[in-house]
Amino acid sequence: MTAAIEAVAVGKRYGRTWALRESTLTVPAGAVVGLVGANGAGKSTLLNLAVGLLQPTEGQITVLGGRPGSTADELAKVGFLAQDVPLYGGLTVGEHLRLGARLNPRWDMAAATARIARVGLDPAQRTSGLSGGQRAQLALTVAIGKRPELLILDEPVASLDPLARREFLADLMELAADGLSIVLSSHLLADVERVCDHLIVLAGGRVRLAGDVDDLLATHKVLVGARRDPDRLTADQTVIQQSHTERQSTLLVHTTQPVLDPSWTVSDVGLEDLVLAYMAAPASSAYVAGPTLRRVG
Amino acid sequence: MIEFRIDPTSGVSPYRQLVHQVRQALLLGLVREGDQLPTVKEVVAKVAINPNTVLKAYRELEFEGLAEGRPGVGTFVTRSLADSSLAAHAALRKDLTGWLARARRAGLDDASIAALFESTFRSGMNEGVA
Amino acid sequence: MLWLAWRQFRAQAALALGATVVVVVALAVTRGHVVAAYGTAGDNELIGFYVWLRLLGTGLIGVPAVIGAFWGAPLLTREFEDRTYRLAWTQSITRRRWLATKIAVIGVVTVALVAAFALAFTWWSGPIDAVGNRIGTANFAQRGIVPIGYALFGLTLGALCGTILRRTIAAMAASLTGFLIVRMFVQKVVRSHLIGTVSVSVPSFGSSGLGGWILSSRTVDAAGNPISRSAAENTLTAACQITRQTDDVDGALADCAHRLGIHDIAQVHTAGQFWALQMAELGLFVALAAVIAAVCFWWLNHRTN
Repeated sequence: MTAAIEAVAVGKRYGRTWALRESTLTVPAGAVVGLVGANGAGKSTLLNLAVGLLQPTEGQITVLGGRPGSTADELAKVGFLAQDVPLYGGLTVGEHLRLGARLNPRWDMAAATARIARVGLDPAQRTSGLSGGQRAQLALTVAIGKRPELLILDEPVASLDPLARREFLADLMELAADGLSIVLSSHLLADVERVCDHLIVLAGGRVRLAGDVDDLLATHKVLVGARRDPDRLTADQTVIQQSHTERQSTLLVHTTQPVLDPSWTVSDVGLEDLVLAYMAAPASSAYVAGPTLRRVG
Repeated sequence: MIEFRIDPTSGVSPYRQLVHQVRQALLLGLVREGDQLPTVKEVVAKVAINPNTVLKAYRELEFEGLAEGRPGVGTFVTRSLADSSLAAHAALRKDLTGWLARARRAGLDDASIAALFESTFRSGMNEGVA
Repeated sequence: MLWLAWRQFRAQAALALGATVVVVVALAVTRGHVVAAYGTAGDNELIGFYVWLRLLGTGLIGVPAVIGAFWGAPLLTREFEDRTYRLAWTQSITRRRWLATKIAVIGVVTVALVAAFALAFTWWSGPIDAVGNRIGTANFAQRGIVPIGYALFGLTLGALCGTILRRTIAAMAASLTGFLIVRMFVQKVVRSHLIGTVSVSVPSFGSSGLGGWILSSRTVDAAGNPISRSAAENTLTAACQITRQTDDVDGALADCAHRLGIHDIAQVHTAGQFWALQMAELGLFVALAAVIAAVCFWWLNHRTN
């Protein structure tokens, strides 16, 4: 199956600043991917590259087998919900659906109209009068009405109240159950943990971690034991983060084999701690976890 | 029909919580052999979790022999866990409600009630084993 | 896309249409007065018309610049400043087709309304121009069909400034400035070279009653040899005994020149060449508009990233 997104050493520079650098990752089709990182880490840049609003300065990015945004066909396959939910203030809800119908050949008007009714929007109302949650639902309707194969959302729930957020995510999961590939950027790890089966961590414009969530959690362990030099670990164990007190060492390691050394207390790591550890990792190191841990950059 | 709930703070992984809730429902007789479990789409539409989580839970139930997936139709319960003790449930529930009311009137808060129940339950268990 | 382009533009189009209708109706209604006034009256009665003439003429001069700034620039800057381009450019339509449709819709309305205004005004000014000079003066820009060319040029220039600068105020300012510079340059420097002139013999002294636009002239003698103007004057004053005491020196010089065959050969754009020059300048501005539009599309695809 074609990967939904394939990026090879992608970089984007603005003037002298690199917003994204040497980023390599693969998003499998049918996955729900959480893109995580601090503000300014490069999340929006990566997503804008994936929909063709930006061109890479170096490297290559392929979406559903083609160059993003290059032709009308490529544009039709990807639905995008940009940050801060752009909508035309002078148009009504119904007119946005008409916009979708006129600009997209595969538009499903019946489904879009039904969805608008289900989320309680009035087609005659101007978008300038809608609440944040309503705007997000309208924008989502427009993004999925064209029946895309991949849906990309840039912090879609950032400004929503908890109830609106829950409803929005529930709707996304229904679409995921139908096979839609979804890439969703967020800095709310609780949402990511609930909803995503793949994870990409960006920090400082670089990919720090990427892979299937279950694999990542299975291959990282926290080791606590008497104070020692971490270089004495075995070859297939890589230290991601370490802290030492006078008597004790705590290590977060990536390992594919069980840790048999009885002097360590081994426990699982939570997703939040894992993400934070990779975000804090030194700039020179980045790991992309697939079947094996791969060192990049 | 089962209503699923996920508690993100419980420390138990979501799919295990779903499995547990199905077993609970079976034990209480809320769901019986032959009943259809909610579809993946129905579950995620209510609970906003990844569809794979539901699939994993249903696969686990299949593995434990409690359910069976029929392609194109849905997932169905294949075994009841409720036993003859089900008849006693109504009366026991009534007693429990009464006991809880008395505990609250005596001034116990939630934590005290839970602690009292657990310690009695455990000591009762030990006696049972012995 | 046609629907969206029209939907976004329809309020401005309605406003412009209303204004144009008012102007055209006013012109139609008052034309009879103009004819009457120029048929019978003297200068005093015409002063009232001169005020209107100046007002409407200025309006017609200004409209193309305004179209560039108010229709052309915001076409893009509005989408950048509201950030709605992120919605428009992720539908199943390329940026090229999106921009082309928007410019086409505005362009068609522009051509129709400016043509109506300009041609109605030209028709209305007919009696005035019959005794005036519309090819040799700045009035040329307020008549005929050149305003259509100016408007298309203004529109595409506004769009280009909007694409490059992305901010409304800056793009409007750049568009107006660029428009003014090009218009003035063409008017002062280029216009005289657009079409061929006609050689006409005119009297060296006194008025010729020619009308038209005299680009250059030189004085020649009866045999056709060029002579300088001062040499001609010396010859004439000597030959016809014209002194400071002669009444009507100019008249005497003119008679004398006529008798001796001294005259001027002038390179002229005659009044009859009015429409030819109009077509040439229209063609020039339409070509400019096309080039600017091409640059705008290139910038949109390769630099707006």
